[in-house]
Amino acid sequence: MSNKAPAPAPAPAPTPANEKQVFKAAIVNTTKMVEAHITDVADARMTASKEDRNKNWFKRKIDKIWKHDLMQEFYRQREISKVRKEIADTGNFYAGDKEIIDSNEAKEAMLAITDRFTDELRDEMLTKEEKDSIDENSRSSQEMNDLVRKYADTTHVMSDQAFEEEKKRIIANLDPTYKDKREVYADNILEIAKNVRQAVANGQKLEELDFDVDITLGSTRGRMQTAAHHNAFDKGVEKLQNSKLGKFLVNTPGAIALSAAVYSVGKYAFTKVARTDAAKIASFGGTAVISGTVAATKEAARLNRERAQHHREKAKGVTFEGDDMKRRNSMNTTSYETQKATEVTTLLAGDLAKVEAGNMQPADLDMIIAHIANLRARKSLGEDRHIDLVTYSSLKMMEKEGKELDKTEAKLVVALRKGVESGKIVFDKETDDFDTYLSQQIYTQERALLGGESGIEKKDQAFTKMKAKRTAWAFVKSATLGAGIGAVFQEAHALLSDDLDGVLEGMSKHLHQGTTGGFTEHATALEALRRHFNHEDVPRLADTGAGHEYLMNGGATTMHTPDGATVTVNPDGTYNIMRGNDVLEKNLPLEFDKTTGDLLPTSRALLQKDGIFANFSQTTQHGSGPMSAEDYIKSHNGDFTKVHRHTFYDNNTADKPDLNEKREYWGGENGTGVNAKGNYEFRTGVKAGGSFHGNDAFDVPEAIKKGGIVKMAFSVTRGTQHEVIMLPVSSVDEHGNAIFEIDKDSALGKDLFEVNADGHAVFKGQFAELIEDSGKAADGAENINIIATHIGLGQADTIVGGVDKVVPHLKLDIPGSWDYEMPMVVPILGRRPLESGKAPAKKKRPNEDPHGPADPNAPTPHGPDGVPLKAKDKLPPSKFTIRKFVGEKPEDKYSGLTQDLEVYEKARLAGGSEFSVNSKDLKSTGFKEILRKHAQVTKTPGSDEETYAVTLDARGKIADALYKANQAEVKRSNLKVQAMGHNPLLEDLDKYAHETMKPVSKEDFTKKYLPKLIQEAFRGYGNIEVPDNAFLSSKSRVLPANEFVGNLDIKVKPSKGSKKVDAKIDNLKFIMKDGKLEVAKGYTFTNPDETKDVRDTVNKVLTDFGSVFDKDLSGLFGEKLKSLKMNGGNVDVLTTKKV
Amino acid sequence: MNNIEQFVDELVSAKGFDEKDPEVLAEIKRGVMSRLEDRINAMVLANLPEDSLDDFNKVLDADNEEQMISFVKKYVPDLDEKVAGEMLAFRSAYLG
Repeated sequence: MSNKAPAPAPAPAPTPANEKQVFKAAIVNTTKMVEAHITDVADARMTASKEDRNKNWFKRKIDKIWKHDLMQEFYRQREISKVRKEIADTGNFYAGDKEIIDSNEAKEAMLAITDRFTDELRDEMLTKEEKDSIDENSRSSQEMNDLVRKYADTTHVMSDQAFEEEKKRIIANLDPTYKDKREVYADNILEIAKNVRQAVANGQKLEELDFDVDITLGSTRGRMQTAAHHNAFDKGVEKLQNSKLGKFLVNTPGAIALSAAVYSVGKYAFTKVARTDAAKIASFGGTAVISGTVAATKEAARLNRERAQHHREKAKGVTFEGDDMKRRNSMNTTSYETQKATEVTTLLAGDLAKVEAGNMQPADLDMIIAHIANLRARKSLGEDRHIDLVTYSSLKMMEKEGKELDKTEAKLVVALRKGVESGKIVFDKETDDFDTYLSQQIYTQERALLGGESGIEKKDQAFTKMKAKRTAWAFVKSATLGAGIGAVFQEAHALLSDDLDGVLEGMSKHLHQGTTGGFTEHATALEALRRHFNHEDVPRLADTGAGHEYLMNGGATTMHTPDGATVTVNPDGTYNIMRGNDVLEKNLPLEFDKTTGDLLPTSRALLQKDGIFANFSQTTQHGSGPMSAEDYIKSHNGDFTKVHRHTFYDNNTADKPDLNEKREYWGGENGTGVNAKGNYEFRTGVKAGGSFHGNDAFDVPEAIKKGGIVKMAFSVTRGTQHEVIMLPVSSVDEHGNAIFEIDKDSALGKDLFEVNADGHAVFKGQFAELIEDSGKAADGAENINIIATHIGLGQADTIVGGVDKVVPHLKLDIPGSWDYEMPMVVPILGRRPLESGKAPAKKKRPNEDPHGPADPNAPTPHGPDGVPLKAKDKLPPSKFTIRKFVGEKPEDKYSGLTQDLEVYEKARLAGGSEFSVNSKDLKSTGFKEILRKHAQVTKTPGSDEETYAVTLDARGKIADALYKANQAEVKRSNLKVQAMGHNPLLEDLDKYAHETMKPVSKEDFTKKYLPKLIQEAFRGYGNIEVPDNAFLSSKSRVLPANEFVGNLDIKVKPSKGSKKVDAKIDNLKFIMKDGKLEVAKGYTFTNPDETKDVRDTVNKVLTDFGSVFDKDLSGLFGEKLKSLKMNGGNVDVLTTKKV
Repeated sequence: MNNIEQFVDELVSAKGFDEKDPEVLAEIKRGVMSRLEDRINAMVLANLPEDSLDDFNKVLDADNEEQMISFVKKYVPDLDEKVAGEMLAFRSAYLG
């Protein structure tokens, strides 16, 4: 690194032959500065303007959710891209900023940067980072020297555009890193070349000039130091927003295989784990927590960025006024205390004057050193901590004010140091070394700035506190409200879905139908939680099919499972209960009650733990196979009654049945003994007086009417007739007949009756007797008297029937398979953006449209004078119409003109007043012809390519030619046309098509035009005569480019009738400004015959010299004079035709 | 077509979009893809050890696919399972 500052690059004065001059040039990498500017502009565009803030509630809410939250990064990146493109299109490093800065102003700012790098006091002016960036070896190049020489040659005018192109090529040769198109540089080489050209124009002979262009390479991040402070996690979140990591990871082979499995089985392996209650809750909360954490981290990162944005905007002079600046006010409470650069400069300038005056007191020295230390501490802390403690009036003025501040400070330090070293300044400090003392004071100032109630550290703490509060809120919003909104969406979806249970449906089903409420296999997260807290295991496996039967408990108990569930026995006698392939219970030790066959309560509890219920029941299994009547009666012990027969009502005719003895009939359908229900049926037809024996008579109809006495007794065999099955009267018909109905499924019905092939009932037992039950005997048996007897088949010992067996049953009620779906966490809660600030007011520039550009964010096209062109809706009405060809014919030589005009526009915007276009980018042969005629043409060796360098003068001619050609073409081909709107040609026509730009050397202008202008100014004042050649220009002085100095010999007429006498005005200085000339004060009017009238007239004319340009000067310039402009060593005389 | 695009295509198809305009459909898919990537990114960040974050930022700056995957695999155990899990969870949440 070179610590020795080179001499600055002054405008070269005429030098004697062979005296070599060194012009100090700097090429400064400004990429970081431009990138920071791009981000600044994009961030500023993401703020909420007053208009945004006044939108209705709904629109503001939508903006907050969409633009400032969900899609914030997308919009921000889009703005960044737009600004980058604007800069690329216009070549203006400051394009896009709210504070409109035109190309020339941007160039001035860039020159201020290069000036710092070439200033003799640069060691005092540059930041540490800038000083470190300087390449130790400055470069020189004969090629660059030649280029400057070529440019300065006024006999072969080289355009700025051509110079720039050639310069880039040479620089790239000097250092290959400069070929990188992504890097942005500022340099002052063209300015050096212009100065040399001016010197030549002023009379310096080019061939006598001997110079070297000494180039310093460096880099800067610009004046502003503030950068967002992110920790590693914040940075990760920010960067992940734009990374493709997520996409990469999904496409890794492992993830592909697993996701394929997801599709094949419909669920992922660890969903089994998620089936546990704890996992359900953890998963539900986990999603929300991750969402909340990310939201909180993003909020922290954005707050960091917004704080940096706020500070950078304040440093650029942006102000924030208004009652609704909630976010800005909040940021202000954490803003650092700053000082304005202009104020500090004024302060230091006063100090410098005091030092230079040499009348300082010790107190003055302390104060001055404190001022310097304060500024240096601000700079040092700013650089170290990436913060800004010095502010500027505006972005445009930043470099200029900064440079002035640096320069003043540097001069002051040098003056003090010299004063102390020479002893002219009394330095009574603890150290003799001025710089050591200054360093100590800087340290003290740094401590002061850091500490205290309004110090940097307190402000940082306040910001940290604010950030903690806002990030906590962001966490809560996303984790709870966001998850809540997601859950509400999911519940709403469940209401409309048949195969998904939401919590409302779940509650309703549970309320009305318990666990059998037809629950679906899919549940929302809330419904899952409801089931969890209610300990509900629904839905259940449907038991509508055959299911499965298992013999357990040594074959004594039957276990039934529904379809889809199975029971397996392990070798150790334990059981597994499966649902499909899922093991619900494993190695379950089931134990049974030995009496009932039911599960023991301990086993039942084991099943219930996992929601399995066992419903117990018993059934009687009917026996099978022949058995003896005695065994049969034993096995049906409860059905039989012991009886003692006493009286047979035989009507005293024991040998033959008669009367009621014969009135026991088969009932049922048509006397078949089988009724409509399939039961067996007997019916009586007994009559009063039909039953007697000896003196005993029994009124059977009357007994039937009474009930309880007449019954039937069924004997199995003759040998077992003392035990019968007794059956009471089932019903009595309208005739008083008793009806006995035997249930076909009862033991009596099943074992002692059958239906024969004719459909008639058959009694297989021995006797079916109609009896009178006369009460119990002493042995407990029933005493009965016989009224009538139906004799059966008497199959005594071949009765078919078995011993009934009680069988225990267990029916398992098993929970079905189901899962739940997590709701999407939807943190669509919106975020309040920073409010837009107000950019510093732009000072009106000469010739500028008072309306200014319509859209501050739109690219700012520039006219040839560097002044931004106006937005089309504010352009004055044009006298001309440039048309866009819509229906271009292929054979038309202007075919492709529409596209060509866009190329032309782009080049013009990028190049400013002078630019070039290449033939390979153009289609229209007609347009190329025009360019060839009016622009400077350079052919590319070895190809047909041509480069057309378009100068200001050429632009008007090209526009004019196009206009005329266009009109002709339209007439000839009758093409459909369409207005093109904003078009550079339109403005070129308005401004320049009928203008003529005539470059005149400064010398010629001084000799030929200026005297005539002076004559014109005095025209009409009869007492003053300006002869031809009255103005004698001074060549002996080096003049700034826009000044003309000389003496004017005139004749004056002191009074009416008197003779004219010679008089003269010495040191008459004209300054070119705003396209006109004005006279500077300081001239000397010498009049030998002094009269006040003449002096007044002279003073009036010279003071108001600019008014001469209001006259019709067409006689003087051939056409109407519009304006004058310095262009290097030339005066561009712009004249207009009378249209 | 790579995996994520196929995944997103299937999701959008399963969701039942019958949008005919290819640009609109592409926009829908782009949105779904972005949400899925966010989810996976959040998972990665939540699983990275704090002391690896500085290095992680450098890897992100390098914008090299292989380096990114290799880095994340190094610090996030069972990465494939976790990514697939996020895909599944997203699928469930998206299809509802």
